[in-house]
Parts: sequence; structure tokens; C-alpha cells
Amino acid sequence: MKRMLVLATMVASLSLSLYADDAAAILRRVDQNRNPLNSFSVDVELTSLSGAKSQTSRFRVLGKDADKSLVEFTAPEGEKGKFLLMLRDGMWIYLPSASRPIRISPLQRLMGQASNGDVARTAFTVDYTPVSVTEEVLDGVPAWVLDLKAKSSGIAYDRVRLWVNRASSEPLRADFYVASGKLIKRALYREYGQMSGRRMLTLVEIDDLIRPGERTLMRYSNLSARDNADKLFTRDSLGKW
Amino acid sequence: MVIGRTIAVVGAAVGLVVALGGSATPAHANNEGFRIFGSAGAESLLTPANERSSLNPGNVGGVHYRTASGDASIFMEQVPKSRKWKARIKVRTDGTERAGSRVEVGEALLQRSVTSWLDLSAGRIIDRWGTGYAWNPTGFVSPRKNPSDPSDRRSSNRGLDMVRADLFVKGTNISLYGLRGGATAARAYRLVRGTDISLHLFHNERGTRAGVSVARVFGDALELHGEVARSDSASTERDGAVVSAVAGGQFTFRNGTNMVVEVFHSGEGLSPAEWEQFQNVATKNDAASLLAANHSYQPLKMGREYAFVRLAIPQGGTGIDWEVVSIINLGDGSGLVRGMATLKLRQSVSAYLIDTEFFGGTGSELSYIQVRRATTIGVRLWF
Repeated sequence: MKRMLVLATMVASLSLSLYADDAAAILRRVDQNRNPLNSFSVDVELTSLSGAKSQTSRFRVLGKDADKSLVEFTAPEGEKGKFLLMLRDGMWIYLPSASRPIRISPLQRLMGQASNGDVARTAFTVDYTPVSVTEEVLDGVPAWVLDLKAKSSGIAYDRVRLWVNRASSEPLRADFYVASGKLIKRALYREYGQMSGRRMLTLVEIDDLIRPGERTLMRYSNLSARDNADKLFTRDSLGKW
Repeated sequence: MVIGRTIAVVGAAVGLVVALGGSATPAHANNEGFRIFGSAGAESLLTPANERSSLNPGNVGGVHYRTASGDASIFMEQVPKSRKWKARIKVRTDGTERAGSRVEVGEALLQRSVTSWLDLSAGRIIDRWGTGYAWNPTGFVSPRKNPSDPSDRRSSNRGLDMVRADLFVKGTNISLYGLRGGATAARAYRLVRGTDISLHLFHNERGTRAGVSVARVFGDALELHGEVARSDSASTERDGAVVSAVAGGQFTFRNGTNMVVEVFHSGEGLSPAEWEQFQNVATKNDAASLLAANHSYQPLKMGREYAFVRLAIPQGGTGIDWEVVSIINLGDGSGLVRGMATLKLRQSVSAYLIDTEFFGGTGSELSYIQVRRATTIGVRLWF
């Protein structure tokens, strides 16, 4: 009986481990699909919609090694000259009026319902660990459902449920939960198009579930490979280049 | 009239730079090529005289009730695609209906990326040190900060003339400075397990200043920071070394509301004996004493301990953004409260109303202020 229990435990552990491995492999493919380039530049346009009103901001994002991002604010006029640096260990903003980098927390948002990480990060694996994977059909599309857990308490969302197209490994939808367990935001990965010679994600819709009717459209364009120097991704370089 | 003249000067400067730039790219282009941005504003400041202040009895100082002013700041940058070098200039002009207008070069610098680990810069540069929001005791090469307007709303700060070398070595950034008048400075920065740590050093013919500043984020909403600076006796007006320090934090609520709290110890504030001496001069009834007291009165710089609180409540692009700031002299309980409401008329145009009220008992620091309140109505355009 004892041997059987040990055997059962071993089999269960093995299957759980294989499942976790599967989830990690799926998440890696999702990130690869979102951005296959190691050092890149991409333009991001955010349109925040609230009732009949809308507001648009534009950014250029320079990235390297999945966990280094530099966001330059390019529009509207009042935002020009601002920069956001996001590294694995922290986040800083540079304001022309302050002329120095300022340490900020993940909740200090760029605009609308988009968090800093939504704009600056193009990879889930930097901030999240997959803890389980299940299967589901979402709007007629067979999908993997990954349960992701934040790697540290400094991440804006403690848990993410991510629906992934089983055939293409492209993300379909993500639900974002805060530490209390409350679902506060939903991202719908709406459109894919050609960028840098391959099929890429081009439009994400972010819905605020706390304030229904408020949503943000995040449109990507001009993704290109680019050799970004390491010193660009240092706090002391912020605003200098 | 003043505003028109101010904007005309900036317009001429823009025209000149665009002409020189030749291949200038559109203003919305990213940070390669030529780009230009800035802001222009017009304000009306209402300042009823505080005739109960012993520094302004019967409004002897002739404080004007209304003052109209205009300002414009324009930033121009040229960066080639290789990012091997960068040129940047900030031209600012401002004027009031009584003092006339002036034009100033706030920044003018050339920067060169020499290697992957070394940048060199020369010219007039605004470089701010420290992690404090309202006060920066380690800001040895920084423009002086106004704690009641730490974000420099009118972009009025001016850089120092310097040469600077920035070294990026294995996760540590070291900046070396040579400043006008033979002063030298250095700063080393490193991110250590998620904590920003900077060491600061400044030396001129008057003495040496040294300091350390830190900042760290806890969880997803709380940031804590602090600075300590020590100046030897030769570099200040005091006998013995002077230590100043600030400690504070900021917390962001889920709805976007942001709160900053800081406490500040100023080693350069007046001692009780010096404060008593100031009060004695201020209450004498002769013109020379009145002039001397007005000359030495520096509100929010005379105490030793202060507290700062700021609450910012953003409403997004469709409503009014609110900001409330309070600064209190912890020694005598006097202080100010400043409320600001900003209405975004368009994406690049805002109108704002700022009201600053002062409080404090007889003989306290802010009871001497020469105006009862300051109310500003303004409009600002970004381009």
C-alpha cells in the first residue's frame, strides 16, 4: 500500500512537472510570436476611449533581451521629451521639467487602462511563471488556458489567465487579477498583420472591468531589428539620448 | 503686449534653428534627426498685500495686486541615427508687464558617444541629483528647487556651464564634472538588488560636500527614498560641518491618485538665536532695518525642519486634474497650502488655477510673508 502511494505520488509529480513544462513551452512560443527580435524598435499608439471621448498618445519602444525596455513619449505635444525605462529590477521615468530620472512604482500609469508594463513589455516570461495549463474553446477557437503567477510583488498584476490559440500559439485574451484575487482588466489580442517580414500582433484592446465602458486600444507598427547599445538601458542615460 | 513680444522672440528662434537645421524632420518625429518641442504660457497673478506683516506694514513694499506675465520655452535637439552625438539647446523667454521681457539660454550642450562605455558632454547643462521630491540636499550641481513648485511648471531652471564624462562600467555609472570657477564633482550610481544607490561629491574653493541618495519600490504602489548630505564648514556660512537630510515616499492608489510625503532637515536653516535676531530686526521701525529684514527673509528656507505633502488626483484627459501641496515648518507650525486645478482644453492646451494660502501664528516664519495669498490663473500650450 505504501509503495503504491509513493508510486502514485511520483506519477502525479511527474505529470504535474510535464504539464508545467508544457505551459512554459507554450508561453515561450507566445512570447516568440509577439516579438521574435532580441534587440528592436517598435512604435505604439494608445487610444483611450471613455464614452464618446478619446485621447491618443504615441510612443517609440526600444527593447533588448526581453527584460530591458526604453519608452520614448512622442505625442501629444505635452508629453514629448518624456522617457520610461523598465528593467527587471525597477522602473524610472524622465520628465524634461525634472531633468532627472525618477523611480516609480508599477501602478503609476502612462495613460488610460494601459499599465507601464503593457507598453514596455513584449514578453510574459520576464514577469510571470506559468503554474498550470488547461484546454478550452474560446469563441470557437481551441485554446490553451495558462495560469500565470507574478514572479514578485512588484508586478502590477499578481495573476494572469492567458488564452492561447492552440494552432498558432498566438495570444487571444488575457485576464489580469490583483493580489486580492479581483479581476480588474482584460486584454483582447484583436489583430495580426505583417511586420518585419512576419505575422505579428498589431492591435490589443484593453478593457477596464472596474469602470465598464473605459477601454484602451494599443496599436503596434514599424517593428524592426535594431542594435540598441546597453548603455541606453541605464538609469543615468535616461533623457540623454 | 508682453506675451505677444515673448512669443515673437521664440518664434524667431524657432525659425532660425529650422533654417539652420536644413533637413529638419517633422516635429512629431522620434528622437533621431532634428526635433523641436516646448511650451508657452500666459498667467495672471493676484497677490493682495499682507499689511499685517512687519516686513510690509501698510504695503510699504508696494506689492502689486495683479501682475500679468508670459513665458515660452523651446527645446531643439539634433541626434543622428547612429546616436554618435547630440546637440541640444533650450531657449527661454519671459516677461511681465512691469519688468519687461528677457531671453535666456537655459541649456546649450554638445554630447558625444565616444565608446560603448563613455559619453562626453560640454556646455550649459541642467543635471539634477538626488531622489527627493521637494528637496534635494545632494543636488550639489542642480538648479535650486522651489518646494512649492518642484516640477518647475514654467520651465524656468537654468543649467550650469560644465564638461561632463559619463562612464558605464559593469552596471555602475560614474559621472565626472568640471564646472566653471574650478569646481569639480563626481557621482556614482548603481542599482543594488532593486535599490537605487548614488554617492555624490562636490568640491570648490570654499570646501567639500558629500552625500548619498537612495530609492526603492516596495510592492506595486509604494516608493521610498532618502538623501543625506554633509558640507564642511568652509563650504557654508556655519561653524562646523552641516548635515541636511530628506526622507519620504510616494504611494499610488488603484484609481491613480498619487501621494508624496517628505520630511526635511536643513542644516543651513537658522538657529534659535539667529531667528530671534531676525525677528528683532524685522520689528524695528526704521527703514534700514526693514530693508535688511526683507533682504534676509527667505520663506521656507529659514527653518530647520519641514514636512511636505502632495496629493495628485488625475481625472484622465476628460476632466480636471487636482493637486494639493502643503509645506509646514515643523518648528513653528506655519506653512502654506497650495491647490491647483488643471483643465485640459485640448490635448496640447491646458488652463489652470492655482491658489496658495499661508498660515501661521504671530512671529512664525510664514507670518512675515508680504502677501496674504497668491492666486494664479493661466493657460499653457505645448508644441
